[in-house]
Amino acid sequence: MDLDFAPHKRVLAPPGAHPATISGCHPTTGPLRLNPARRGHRARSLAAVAILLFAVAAPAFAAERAAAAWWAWPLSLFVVTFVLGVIAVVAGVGGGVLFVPIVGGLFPFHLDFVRATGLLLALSGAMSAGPSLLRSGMASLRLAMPLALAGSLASVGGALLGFALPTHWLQTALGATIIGIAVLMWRAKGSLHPHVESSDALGTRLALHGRFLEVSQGQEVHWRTHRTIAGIAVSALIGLLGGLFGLGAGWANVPALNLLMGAPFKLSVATSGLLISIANSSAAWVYLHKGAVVPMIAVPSVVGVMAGARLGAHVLGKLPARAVRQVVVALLAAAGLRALLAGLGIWE
Amino acid sequence: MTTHHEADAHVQHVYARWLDAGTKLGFILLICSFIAYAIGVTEPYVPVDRLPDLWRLPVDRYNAATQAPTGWYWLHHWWRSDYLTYFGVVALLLTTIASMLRTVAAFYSLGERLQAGIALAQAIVLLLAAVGFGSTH
Repeated sequence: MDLDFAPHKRVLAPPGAHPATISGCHPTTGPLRLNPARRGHRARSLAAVAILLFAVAAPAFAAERAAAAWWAWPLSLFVVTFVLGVIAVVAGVGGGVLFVPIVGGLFPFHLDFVRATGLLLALSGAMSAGPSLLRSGMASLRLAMPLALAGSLASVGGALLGFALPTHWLQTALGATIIGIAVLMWRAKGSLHPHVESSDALGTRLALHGRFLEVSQGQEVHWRTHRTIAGIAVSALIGLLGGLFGLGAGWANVPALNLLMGAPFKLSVATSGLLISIANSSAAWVYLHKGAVVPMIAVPSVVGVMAGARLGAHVLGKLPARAVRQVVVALLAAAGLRALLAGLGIWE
Repeated sequence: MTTHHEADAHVQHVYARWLDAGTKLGFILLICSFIAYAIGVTEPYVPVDRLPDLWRLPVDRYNAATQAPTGWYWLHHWWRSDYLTYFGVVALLLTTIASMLRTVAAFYSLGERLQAGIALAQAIVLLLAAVGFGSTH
């Protein structure tokens, strides 16, 4: 069964899937041709999204104007990240991938501090969700460990590379990556239960198989993976990008686990969080040791996104998830373009 | 005899318990220390009113401008309210290492030496990152 993440198409979510936990997957449906009632709904949706965008941008500009008062910054940062936390849950994306390009573009913080905070933010979210996902068996530590080892090593390398590169190079690469993520989010498809004929030799040696209870269907799902070496190589690349830009890596981990290695979709989403919590942790040490963790930026951001995510989970059914996701993709593309142009010196 | 699935469930529960405890501790420390920082319980190392001028700079210039310590040297100034928040961050980061080390023992006791070896390698990578291998000069 295919899952189409593309918001302009019909989306088939796993039965009972909760969009707060299944990244990129919403039980939103509907034909492309809209009737008048649906058009009205769409107009309201766009209005809601416009309000959300204003809520993101306004505090940053307000703080810029009231720059004399230091407390305006953490306060506005808290408001912005709170809104980002709500949007992230409703749109089914990670907070880190929104935080770095958007806060990097709206606030005057140097990219070094934004990347460090983005990494902590992704780490905090993944660590909070980890215990319940592990206990339920939705996340597999056995599957995560070999991938996380490669990701950890590469993310340390990525973080060190990030400090060695000139800022404009980094900004250009970040812009290109964010645009790539937006395209991936727009186009990527997932597979609910991919068919894996047999494990490869390394997967068999590592016993990368198991089972978990699919609560919504009341049945056990048996899984196994394949293409282990390719999965490890891709995890290393994802770790490198995560360490380099301070992005959470759910946008890449889920397709890698699901489409490349053949893990079931839900297991991929949950195991991705576990991967992030391990791989980002090693890169976060680098940022901490370099002095890039500025508490006045990091703590309000982490608390804001966590609080926003909690509200997002509550209002999930009330906000127009499909429209929010469309705008998030557009917002990411715009933020990526902004970073790209800034990096190239075209739009300072 | 323990089945593959039972072994996995046992190790995952062990890991989850440690991760849960450490994460909660880290968040409590992070929030309490930030409140202490915001209300100025002790003097911060970098005055808060200087921050808007400083955080526009790359980190090496920020460090040069503030003479801020790198690596673990912030511990020399641990009572400064900005560095108090580092205890929360460090608690979160140490949680992954502690959980992974506990996993090594859990896998080993179940006779899963290959998984124990991978977990140990992961813990070593995290420990090297924690001590500042490659990132401090």
